[in-house]
Amino acid sequence: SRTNRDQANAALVKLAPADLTEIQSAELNQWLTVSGRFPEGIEQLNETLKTRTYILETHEATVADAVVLSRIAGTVKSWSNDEVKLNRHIVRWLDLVQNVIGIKDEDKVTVNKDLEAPREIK
Amino acid sequence: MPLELLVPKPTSVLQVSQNAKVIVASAVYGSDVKVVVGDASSSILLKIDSDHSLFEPNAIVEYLSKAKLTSHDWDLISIEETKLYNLLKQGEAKKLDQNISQLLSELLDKVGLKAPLSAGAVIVFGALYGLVATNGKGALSQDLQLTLWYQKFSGESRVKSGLKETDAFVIVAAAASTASKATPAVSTTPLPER
Repeated sequence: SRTNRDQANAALVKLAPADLTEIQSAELNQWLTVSGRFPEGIEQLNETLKTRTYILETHEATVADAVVLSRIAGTVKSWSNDEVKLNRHIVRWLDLVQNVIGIKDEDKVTVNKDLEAPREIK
Repeated sequence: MPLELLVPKPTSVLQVSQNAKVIVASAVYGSDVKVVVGDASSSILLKIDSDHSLFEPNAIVEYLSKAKLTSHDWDLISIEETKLYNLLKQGEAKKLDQNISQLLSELLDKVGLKAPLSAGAVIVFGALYGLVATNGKGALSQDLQLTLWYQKFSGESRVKSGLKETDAFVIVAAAASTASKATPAVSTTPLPER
């Protein structure tokens, strides 16, 4: 079940679930389930975002990005510099999504973009 | 080309449940799915194509069912993802709370009228399979209706055929995944009655 914050964020995206492909719909269900269990699954989210701009590999943010953002924002806010480096793909994605869907400034997570992390082997 | 479904040898009751969900779904929905049982360090994964895969068992069941789910299905899935999941995650599976089993019975009854093998039913069955695997049918004894539903569902021919994959349902010692390969996996849990 979605919280008020989930609903508020979901209302900010334009792309409707009906516009998604069969695989994207399945991935949407997957992330709605997994994000309800955070911090379990954070590693998988970071791995997924390694090669994707948005969670469902769409050209714009979807309800998956909006709801997952609402569920992980508090956790990201509490991360140490080392955790930010470890989960850099989530941090990059969060910074993008919170700006493109128009989260209010007071609700945004401040992202430190100056941290240097060792290059990853892809 | 068949989809490939990788399932681990389970090291916990939760993994037994997760395996049961996806294996039963692959058998029930008649999909062209090749089930591969990996070692205890692997994870559930449905490879759809070279760029796409699913790792969350409920999403895999929903994907394989190819059906639009009813509100009753979503209610069942919601209970499974919260109450049953947490119960299974505790490791030592306990008996179901009477209120939950009653609620499940009512919803399964409604789902059963239209689609007895719907995704919601398969997902709940998988979760209950884990409870029964560790506690026997006594795990469901709070509710006769739920016990009867479980017996009927597990007796369905396609479900039975899915549950023949024994390697995917016998819990092995967790240490076996990291120990020397010469160390045999130890079965700690008998198979549930089929």
